[in-house]
Amino acid sequence: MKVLLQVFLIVLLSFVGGVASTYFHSEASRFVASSIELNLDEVDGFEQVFWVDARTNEDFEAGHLEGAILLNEEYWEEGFMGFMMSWMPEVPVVVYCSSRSCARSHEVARRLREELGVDNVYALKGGWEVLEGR
Amino acid sequence: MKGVRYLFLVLVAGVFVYAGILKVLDPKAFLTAILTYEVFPYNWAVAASLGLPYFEILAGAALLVPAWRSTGMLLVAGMLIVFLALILQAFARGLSIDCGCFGPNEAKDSTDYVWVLARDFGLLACLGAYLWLDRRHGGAKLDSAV
Repeated sequence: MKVLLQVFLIVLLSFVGGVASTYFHSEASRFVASSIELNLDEVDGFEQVFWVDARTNEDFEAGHLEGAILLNEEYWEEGFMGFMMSWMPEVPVVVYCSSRSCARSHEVARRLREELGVDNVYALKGGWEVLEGR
Repeated sequence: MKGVRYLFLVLVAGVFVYAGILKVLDPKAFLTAILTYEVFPYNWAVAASLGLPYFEILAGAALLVPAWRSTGMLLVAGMLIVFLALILQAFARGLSIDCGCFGPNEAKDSTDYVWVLARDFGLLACLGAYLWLDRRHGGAKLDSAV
């Protein structure tokens, strides 16, 4: 009984800590994946797609989707310049990353939505591995 | 001998508290790591990245408080078993993961499964060694508390 009570208290305090973290680290919880995530079938439904690669520079150099622009958080300024030179507002933007680091694409998609003030920026579910596998 | 068994306990507690603090400071990196296991839906992973670090810290700290030790051992051992199961399923599926054990993870790093598994098994062994030494020297507090 004593152990159960202590477990309950630890779970409760962890929950309170988690809620506090939500406040202090809102970037970790701001996005619900379903609101910006698309699977490959949905992306294929677009007439035209502007692909953005959010992986590391090394991964991009090792191989990327033809026509994709490199834009990651580490080199945001450089990547964003290149992005703006090719971006067409009417064309949906789909960001992909590696499934090893798929929060990257959500973060880049979120940031693009904020900075560009548009809603047609998405993150690809499954990332580079899905593109590679088709 | 009492000092030796407490050394095992302090080691495990220290690892959990340290790992938890790193994750509290950078939940985004931990979220990224959780997603690499490809087990949890995104929203669950977000919840885990925010709450689990505090759970680790509190469970680790509980090991050092005599009145809370049984609970701490139960929770820490439970977490280690879950972590091991997650790592093993990722290994079986051939996934390349970032374990997310200690703070921010580099996306390009690949996990050394052997090292990660050895570390978790080692921590479990430390708990086992503490229990064994405790019982060998007449420590009945854990049993009575449970």
